[in-house]
Amino acid sequence: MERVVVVISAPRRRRSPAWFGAETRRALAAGLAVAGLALVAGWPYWRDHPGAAAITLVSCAGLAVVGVLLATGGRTRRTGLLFLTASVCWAANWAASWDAGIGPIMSPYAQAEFYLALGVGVLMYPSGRLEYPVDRIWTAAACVILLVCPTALWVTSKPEWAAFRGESVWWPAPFPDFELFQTVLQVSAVLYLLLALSFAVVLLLRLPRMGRLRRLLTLPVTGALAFVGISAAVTQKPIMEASIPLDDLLQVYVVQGAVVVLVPLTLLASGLRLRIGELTVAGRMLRLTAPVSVERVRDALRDVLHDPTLELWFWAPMEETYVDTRGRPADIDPDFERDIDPGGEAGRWRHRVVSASGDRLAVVELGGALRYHESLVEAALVAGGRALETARLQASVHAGLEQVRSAYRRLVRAETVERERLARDLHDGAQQRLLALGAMLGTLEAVTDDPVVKEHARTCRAELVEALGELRALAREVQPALLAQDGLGPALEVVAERLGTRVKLDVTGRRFSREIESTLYSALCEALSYAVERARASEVLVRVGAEGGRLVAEVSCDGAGGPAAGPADLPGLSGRLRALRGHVEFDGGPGRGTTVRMDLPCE
Amino acid sequence: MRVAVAEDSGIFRQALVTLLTTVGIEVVVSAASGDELVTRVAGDPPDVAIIDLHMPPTYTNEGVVAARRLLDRHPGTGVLVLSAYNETPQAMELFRDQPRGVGYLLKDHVTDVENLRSALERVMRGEVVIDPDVVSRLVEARHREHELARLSEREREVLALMAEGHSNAGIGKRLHLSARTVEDHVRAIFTKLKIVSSGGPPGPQDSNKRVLAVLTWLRAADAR
Repeated sequence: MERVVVVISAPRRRRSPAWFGAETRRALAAGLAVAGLALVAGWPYWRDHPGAAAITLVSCAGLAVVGVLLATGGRTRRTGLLFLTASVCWAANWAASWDAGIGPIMSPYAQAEFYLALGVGVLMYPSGRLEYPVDRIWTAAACVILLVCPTALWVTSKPEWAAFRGESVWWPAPFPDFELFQTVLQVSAVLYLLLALSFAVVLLLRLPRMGRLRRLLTLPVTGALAFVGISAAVTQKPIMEASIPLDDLLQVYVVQGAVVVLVPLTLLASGLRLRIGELTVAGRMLRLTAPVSVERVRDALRDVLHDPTLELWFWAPMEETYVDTRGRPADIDPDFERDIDPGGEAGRWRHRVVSASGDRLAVVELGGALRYHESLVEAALVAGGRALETARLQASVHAGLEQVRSAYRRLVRAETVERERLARDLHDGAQQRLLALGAMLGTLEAVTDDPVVKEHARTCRAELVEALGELRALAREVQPALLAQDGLGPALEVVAERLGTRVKLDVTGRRFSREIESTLYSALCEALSYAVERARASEVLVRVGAEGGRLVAEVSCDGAGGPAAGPADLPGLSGRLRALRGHVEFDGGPGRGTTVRMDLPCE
Repeated sequence: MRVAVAEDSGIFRQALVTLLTTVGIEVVVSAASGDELVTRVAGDPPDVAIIDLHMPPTYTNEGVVAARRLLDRHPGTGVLVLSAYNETPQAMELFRDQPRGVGYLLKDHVTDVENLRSALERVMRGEVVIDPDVVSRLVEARHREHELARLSEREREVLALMAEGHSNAGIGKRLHLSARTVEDHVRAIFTKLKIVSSGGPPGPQDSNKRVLAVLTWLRAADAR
């Protein structure tokens, strides 16, 4: 009989606090190790200078800790490794204090590579690459200078000239020449200074090309490192002379090491700031999105993500498309590619937002700079989740309205075309036939000698003219021929002449699209006949003008007789204008006259 | 009298030609469009061309365009534009540049033979003819009611006939007045209404320019 043993292990209880995870422990261990290395390397000097020892060990350890922490992040991995290398180099640099063995010859290399690693590390922060050509050129130049100069040092000198004891130091010195050595020192000093200054310039050049958020993060580090670089070059100057005491040299190293502490400190500050940003983003989103509206959600996202170019589209399930904040369908493939424009900082990318139940909710399009801060974007979208869901409902209502509006608009367009056709039919068909009949009656009247027939023909003609008048009134209501040819002004002039009330016209000569002219014409006719018949106006002023992309028409009259006008009095008018995204305002009351103001977009 | 007709509606054109022929007016060309008429009368212009205002392709002002072209080529020819609608701006457009030998008649009045014949004759003589309905609507439009109130009944009648394009003699004949009396009325009207004519001092002798001045005055709304 076989026995099956199932081992159920109890879940490991977590003893340490959340922040004290494996990464933190690893970082602290690395810091301690590097500090230990520095302690050993500089022991002869530390014995007499405990203060300097403390500063240097803290600086080395701090740099190593930041390095390891950065190395755990995806994009900042290289920067982290370079910082770790820099901290080891700085510790190794102190081997010079033994004044024996290979320590002194190694020290200038260690110092040079320390600055190199630090500089390149910062250039790679936070994207993990040398993004700009200037960065790469500077890095190449720095590599050459920081290798050649320490080499030229020992090639042309004896150790005594370089602050070391001759007998115990391993120092090959193949071509010792004091004058040449002095020249090498001077040239090196100038090159170091140039390197430091050009590094500051390279850092400044990067700033304008960064997104707002990234600039906020990089600015302190850039400032700190520019300061470190220049102070290093300046403090290096006095020791670039022949025959200085070893103590002076090491003292300069202490100062340089102390200044370097700035770099890890500012990096930590930036990291903290980012983390605080992620933590506070929820509160800010909630504050900025109340009360929820489509635009407010978008503006809140723009605000918390420091990206004024951010765009937001909502999924409209009924229409099965994404719509913009005004409810208009947007041309976005539901299965879009993430990177729509992979151009680094200048590029753009899209992020799909889904609801808690996994349904499509929205799409955010962001500037390339935010690619490096996806956690921040994620935090903002999660915090704004409720607001986004509410806004999506609003957006889909907008989308529905938009559909109704465009359907109505198509209807108005179809109606305009139909009116034109009808008017033409009346003109070509019925009217011509009646007119021909009139001419025939005229002929009959002319040829007959019978006075009774003549009289009958004349009566028929008179009746015919009446009928023609009625037919024409109908055709004019449908679509006046003058409107299509000469526009609103002349067409309204004819209307005004027929009203029998004094009408002042102030109408722009500009032409607009067929449906706008046709709609406004019938709206104005309606308003005019309202003014005359209902408000019993004796004087009417009609003004039509285009102002900043909107066509504004105003009918004001002195009609004090009727009650105050409202949309209910002119229902056809309001509906037609709304179909073209226009609106109507009424103003007036007994004793004040009446004003109907219509405006609609005309571009 | 030799007449050419341009009218897109076949049925009305046919009836019009029959009417004209019946009353002894010779129709030399009967065309379906303004272009066709201008082409066909090129060698031998008629005394008067009757042109429909609304014709294809746009049914807006083809008649005015054709009238202009015809008058450019044959300045001696009279043109009578027919319109189914009483539209002042169109009429003004026709008289703007050339107030000689042109007329604007509503199609309703074409069916009255005497009306038609008198309009054709006046246009042939180089006079201006404006349909009485156009004028009466302008007078009734009350743009100018305050100024018109200053005129006497008789002066208003003279004003209307003047606007229709009648000469002093024509006005006199219609109202049974002497030429001298008509002249006095005309002068009084021009002074009372402060009409300034491009044809010279108030009460110009050139009845065509006078028509234009009166029509312009009647049409001008206060706001313009």
